[in-house]
Order: sequence, then C-alpha cells, then structure tokens
Amino acid sequence: MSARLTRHLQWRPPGGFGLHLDVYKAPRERAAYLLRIAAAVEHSIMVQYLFAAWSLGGPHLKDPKQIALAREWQTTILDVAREEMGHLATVENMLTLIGGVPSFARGDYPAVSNLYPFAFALEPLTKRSLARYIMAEMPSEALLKEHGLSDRIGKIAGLLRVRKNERQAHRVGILYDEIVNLFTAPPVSSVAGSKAGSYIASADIQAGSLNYQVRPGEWKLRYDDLLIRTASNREQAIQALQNISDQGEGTGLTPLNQSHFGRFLQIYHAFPDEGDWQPARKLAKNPTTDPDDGKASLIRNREAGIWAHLFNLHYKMLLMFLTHSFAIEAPAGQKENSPRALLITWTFGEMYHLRSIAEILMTLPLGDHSGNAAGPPFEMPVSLALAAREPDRWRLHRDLIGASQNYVERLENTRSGKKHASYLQGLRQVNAKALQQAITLVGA
Amino acid sequence: MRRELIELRILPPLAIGRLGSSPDPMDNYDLVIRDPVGPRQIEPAETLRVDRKTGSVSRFTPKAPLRFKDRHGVRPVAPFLEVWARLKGESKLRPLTVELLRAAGLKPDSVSWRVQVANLKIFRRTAVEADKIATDIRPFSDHKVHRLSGRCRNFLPRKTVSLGSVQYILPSRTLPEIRFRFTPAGGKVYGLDPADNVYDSSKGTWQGQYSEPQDNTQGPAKGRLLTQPFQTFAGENKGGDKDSKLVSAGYIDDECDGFVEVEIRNRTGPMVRAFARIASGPPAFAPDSMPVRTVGDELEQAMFGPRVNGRVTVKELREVVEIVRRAMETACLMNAAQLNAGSLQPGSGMARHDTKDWHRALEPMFEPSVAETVAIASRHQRVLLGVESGSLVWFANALRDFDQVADLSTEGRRKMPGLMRGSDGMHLALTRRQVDKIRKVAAAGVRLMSDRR
Repeated sequence: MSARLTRHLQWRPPGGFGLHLDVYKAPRERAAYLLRIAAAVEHSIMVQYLFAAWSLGGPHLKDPKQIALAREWQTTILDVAREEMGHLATVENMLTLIGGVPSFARGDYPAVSNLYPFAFALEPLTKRSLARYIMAEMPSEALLKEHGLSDRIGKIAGLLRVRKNERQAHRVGILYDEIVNLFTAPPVSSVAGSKAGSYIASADIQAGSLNYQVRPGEWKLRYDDLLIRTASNREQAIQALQNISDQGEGTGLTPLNQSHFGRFLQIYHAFPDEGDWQPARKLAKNPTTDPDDGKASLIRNREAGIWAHLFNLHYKMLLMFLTHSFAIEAPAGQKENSPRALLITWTFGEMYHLRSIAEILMTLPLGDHSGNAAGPPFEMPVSLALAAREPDRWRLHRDLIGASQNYVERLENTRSGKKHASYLQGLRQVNAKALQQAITLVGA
Repeated sequence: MRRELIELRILPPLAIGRLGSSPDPMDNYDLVIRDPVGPRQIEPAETLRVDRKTGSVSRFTPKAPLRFKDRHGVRPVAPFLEVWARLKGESKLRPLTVELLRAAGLKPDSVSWRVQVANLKIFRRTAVEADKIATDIRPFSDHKVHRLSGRCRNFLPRKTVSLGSVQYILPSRTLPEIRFRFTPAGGKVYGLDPADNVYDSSKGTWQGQYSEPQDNTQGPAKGRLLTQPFQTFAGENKGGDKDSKLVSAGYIDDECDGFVEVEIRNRTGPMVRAFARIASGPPAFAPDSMPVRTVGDELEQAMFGPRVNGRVTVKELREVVEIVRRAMETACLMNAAQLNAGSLQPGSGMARHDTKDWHRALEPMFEPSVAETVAIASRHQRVLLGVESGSLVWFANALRDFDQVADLSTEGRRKMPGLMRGSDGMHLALTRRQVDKIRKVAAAGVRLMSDRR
C-alpha cells in the first residue's frame, strides 16, 4: 500500500527541499495525490501516537509521581492523536473540495516511507520513539534557529542517526507547503504571465461539495484544539491547510510550545533515559495476527489472537463507517433517523471499542516467551472500497457487525472473556442494536 | 423497669409520593441491571398491603410484570414513613415497635400524628394569602383514613381539593413497627371543566392572572413572584410581539407538600416528637430510568462536600458508571431534534431560552445533522461501555463546570449534560461533586480497572 501510494514521489536532492512528482502534472490531480498522501501520513502518525499513548501506565508503576507523570504524558499524546484525527478530517475535506475521493488508506508496517526519517512502527513509548515524533513534527530550520533549538534537535537527530539534509527533507510540513502552493493562485496582475496549469483552476474548487465535507460540529464537542476545517473556496482551503501545518510545527499562530513538536519536546526532556524507570508497559513492537509477516511480532497466544482479530475487525468497521459517512450528503436541517448521523455515531463508538479492546490486549501475553504483552495490531483491511449501491454498503456493515458477534461468542468461553464478561455482554448488546439498524437500512 | 423514649425520628425524613387515581397503590420494586448498556429491569419486591378500612397491614410479593396502571388509572406511589426511637441509656436508634412502646409503658394509641400540607402554586403567582390551598389534620391516634381536603378562602362555597390521604398503620404481631402512610391525590386538574371548578373568580384573580414578559415582580409582594423560569403555568399568550403576556387559564392541580409530625408523651418523662417532610409529584413515566442529576446527588454534595477527597477506589468507579448510565437513560428519553432546534416555538429547548432570556443569536445547540435521539442514545451507550474498560477521558473533558452554566458560546452550549436546563434556568451542570468524581476516576483510569479485576 505504502509503496503503491508513494512510488511517484521523490525528494529533491539535498539543498533543494521539495517534492518531485514524476506523474500527475495537472494541478488538481497533483493536489489530490498529495492530499491522499497527507491523509495517509496523518492516519499513520495518529495510529502510532495512539499506540504510544495507550502503552503508558499500567500496573508495573507503583510510585505515585511516576504514575502521575505517565498519566500526564498519556493525556498529552492522546490530545495530539485527536488533533491528528482533526487534521485527517480536514485533509479529506480538501480532497472532497477538489472532487477527489476521500482516502483512509495508509501504509501498514513495517514500511519505510520516504516521507519520514524512520519506519512506521507501533511501539511502546520510549525516548527513542519520542525522538522520531519530534523529527516528524519539526518546523523549519529557520524557526528552530530562531528559538535556539538547532543544537538540541541536532542531538535528537543524532540519536536517530538522521543527517542534517535528511532532517529538512522529511518534515511533514513540506508536504502541506506543496499542497498550499497548488491551491494558491498568482496575483491577478501576473496571471497572464504565469505558467498555465501551475495551480488548481477555480472551476475545480467546488463549493457544492460542502455538504459532503465533515463538519466540525458533527465531530467535535469539546476539544477546542481539534482543527476540523471545511472549505468552499480557495482562500478557506489554504487557511485550513496552513492551520494543520501550524498546529503540528508551531509555525503560525500556534505557539511553539503548544504545537505537537513543542509538546513532544517537553515530554522528551522530562522522559527517563533507557535503563531508568520505564513509563510504558512491556508490549510487543508491531504486534500482528499475520503469520507471514516476518518483520512484525506475531500474536501467538490463542486468546490474545482472538481479541486481536476482534480489534482489527472493529478498526475496519471504523474506517468503513467513516468512508461511508463521506459518501452521504449532510441533510439540510434537522432530520430524524439520519444514516449519516448513525454512521458518525458508530464511528465514535468504534473509537471507544478500539480503546477498550486495546486495554484488554495489553494485559494478555504475546505468547512468544519474550514476556511481552500483546497490543493493538491496527492491521489495515485489504480494501476500504465502498459498494456502488447504498443497500450494499449497509450489507457490508451488517456482515461486519455479525462477524463481531461471532468473535464475542468465541471469547465468552475463554478465560480472558470471562474476566471481561461485562464488556463482552455490553458489546454484544450494542452490536445487536446496530445490527437491527443495519438490517433496516439494507431494506430501506 | 420502665424504659423512657428520649428521641424519635421519622425515616425517611423526606418522602415523595406520586399522584395516581387508582385506589390500589403501586407495588414495590427494585431496578436491576442485567444488560450493561440496556435499560434497567423492573423486578417486583416485597410490598406492604394496607387494608384501608382497618389500617391493618400484610406483606406480599407481587408477580411480574408489574402494572403501573389499572382500570381505575395510574397507581399512586404511596410512601410509608417509619418511626425510629432511642431509649434512655442507648446510643442507637431502632425501629419503634409495639414491644418497645410496651417497654416504655405505652401503647400504639399513645402515638399521635399531625399532618399539615399545602399547595401554594397559586399563591406563588398572586402573592394573595387567600389563594393558599392548605389543610391541617389535628393530632390523631386512630387507624382510619384521614383525607387531606385542601381548603382555600378563594374557593367556591363548600369546595375543596383533595390533596390525598394519610393513615396510621395498625401494627400487628408480624409487622409490629409504627408506620404511617401518605397516599397522594389522584392527579386531577381543576378548572378545565366548569363542572369541576372550585375557584371563585369573583373573589380571586387566578383566572386571567398574567405576568409581564419584562417584569414578573408585580403584585402585592414584589419580588415574591420572581420565578425562574417565569410563565410556567397553563395559559394563553395574548397581545402582540412586544407586549405579549401569558394569561392564566385558572387551572389548579392537586399536588402538595408539607409535614408529618409524630408525638409521644412518656408516661412520666418528657414529650418526644419528630417530623418528616412529604410531597407529591407526577407519576414516573419512565420508571426504569433515572435522571442524570437527582436530589440524591444534591444531598451527597451537601453532606460530603463538593470534592471527593483521598484516592478514588472501585466504589467511585461504580458510582461514575451509574452517573454515565443515568446520562444515557436521560438522553434516551429526550426528543433531541426538538430540544436542539433553533426555534422560538414553545416546547423547543435551550436555544429558545437563550434567545428569549439573553438575546443570544438563535441557532441550534449541536450540529442538527447528528443531534437526533437514536444517534445520541447510541453514542451514550458506547460511552457507557467504554467506561467499563477505563475510557472515560472524553466524557470527563466534555463536562460543564458549575460556573460555566451561563457560557452561551457555541462550545459552551455543547458541554455535557447537553440540551437540559438547570433549576436556575441556565444550562444544566452536574453537581460539583459529581464532576470531581468523574474527573478523578477518569484520571485514575487503568489503575481502577485493574483494581476492579
């Protein structure tokens, strides 16, 4: 997936930062391609941050100060992960604005993406993984210099053995700079002289797509920092993309210490070194259910394996509900029994399910004699394609929910299932209600 | 040796009955949770049956399913009040029984009761003493039914409103405790039908009474009439947009509240007495659910303070699960679309109030495309399930603080609980203690879950 997505993308040689695309010459298509990559990037880092945040804490911590620190860092990283969800939603909105197809695909691990100075990895939070996150969210060299951070970042880069020219080439922000360039029209006075086809034509920016975009009010209730932007014109799109970049790097209105980069940097400085106490649980790196994936950690424990399959299934459900919600136009005004509202609700529900199942997985052994616990595998489904007909989309949801019921049934007779009987019983009930709704909508 | 009663208590100190016109009061039941995310189950529980003619009492367990209505109408909830006593030389209260009375040289008819109840709803609006509906049942020790006939100086001649009845239960060998029962009225509304009318409009002003939109403090006792929200009576809007006023239709209901007093004179010692409060309210139309904020939450805060001190435990986790469940149950009962609507139509929710009370721009509270009952109920179910596994952070962060009830910004109005109005007329917040408890349990998260297992 990753290679397919990025095979047309190359970094320019050191000294000339930017992207080189060997195809997609038309600005709209070029922007759509880059936005799909941006979506994959946001999705990937969100998943990594979730894994890292969930790994913090656990019964091995006894000292109240250490527990409090782990909790504080967990809250910070979860906030950042939520903000990445907002970025992802905004990117999908911009794709929708220019007539692109929303994309929730991302590279599976272990995949070295040339967007990063490191391989995508699901791992418990360590000083080293924090260093990676800092590098991914890092602002420009000039801003680092302005804040006197060049040497510190140099040391962190050294830890990861990232050379200076690579540091700048792999900033996530550079991707957004390129997309903003494609949205930016030259001043009217120079339009005549500008190179034809260097920016997205106004006719390709469709205000009518607004009802298909994710609205902030549908997704955020409380998180003021959750940036979900819609756009109906060029200026709004540019502003939205710049906001994302700012929140990550702290380059615009977002103060540096409140940016993702700044928040990770603060954790990094307070984080214990290797050999000191470890705030994260002892979890497997890159847990997987795929026995053919030699580079990941296969979950061999039978019960953990079933929970992991259940996790993957609900991850797929989340992505399918989300994809489907983008395909339904927001109703004008109040509407009872809106399928779109139901899908959004289900998506929220899946976030809770993933958190709950991950928590259970982190208490179960990997089963490989390493002593590591399993963890949430976040394996991408084979396909996220939606059926062309609406009833068939609900048929898919119906089948996925039914599959979840099967896993619940299998787990109920296991030792861990009995321990979490209340959760399984609740999941069974929630599934049963959702199943009824899906069946109704298949008929509708 | 003769014992001496030195202290009495009536328990519960506050008993709330529910109106109903059936002569057969509602059976007792427990609410049981079998499905972690589903509704509570109503399970029959041991019930006391009173023979109203004699006052004698017997116990039985009703069969499922319970009936909340019978051919006569809604079955009223008629609470029992029990007398507890402390004897000289003892430190603990215990139920007052025939035997205990005998030890003090007394008999059941040594116990005397007095009941004072009133319905001051009209007086609350007119501030006219003659509009008070009240009754005072002078001390009695028999076991007959005593009717609470509410009298009012502004009623038509010989007209009264039944506010219910009370009865001193005849203790028996198997049920020797000293008990009292309050049976609320039938839930009638007077004034709808001229034949039922009790109020003399030639004497009183209730029919046709109105409050000015901009000044609800008019009347003989200025300030007494201020209610929040105002205009909470049945009536008709008259006048134009600018001078619109709600004119009372003159309706009167049969709810009441007041005091039950018990008094016992020791044979040689002093008189001991105690009192309890009683009140009647409307029937529970969703008896298998509980509101997100209850009088119980207020009392807990009053007793233990606004903060939960010390390390939170599995006990607090269970209490928080209960609060989240109540939030879900409340959400399931709401017509979310209507309450969210940005409309000035009476019957719409907080958006209307924010505009009428504070001149805020009229707009829905939440994004209309997702604010509908099925979706909101589903979301709460998933939150409740999430709490089971320690995922409470979102819920904790979304809560409205007590000092944010007047935050009418878009974000402020979307805090939880949403779409609901507090007794001060502003957006509802949970009690400070509830909020503190939820936040502390959320912060303890995973530790509590592993403690629980």
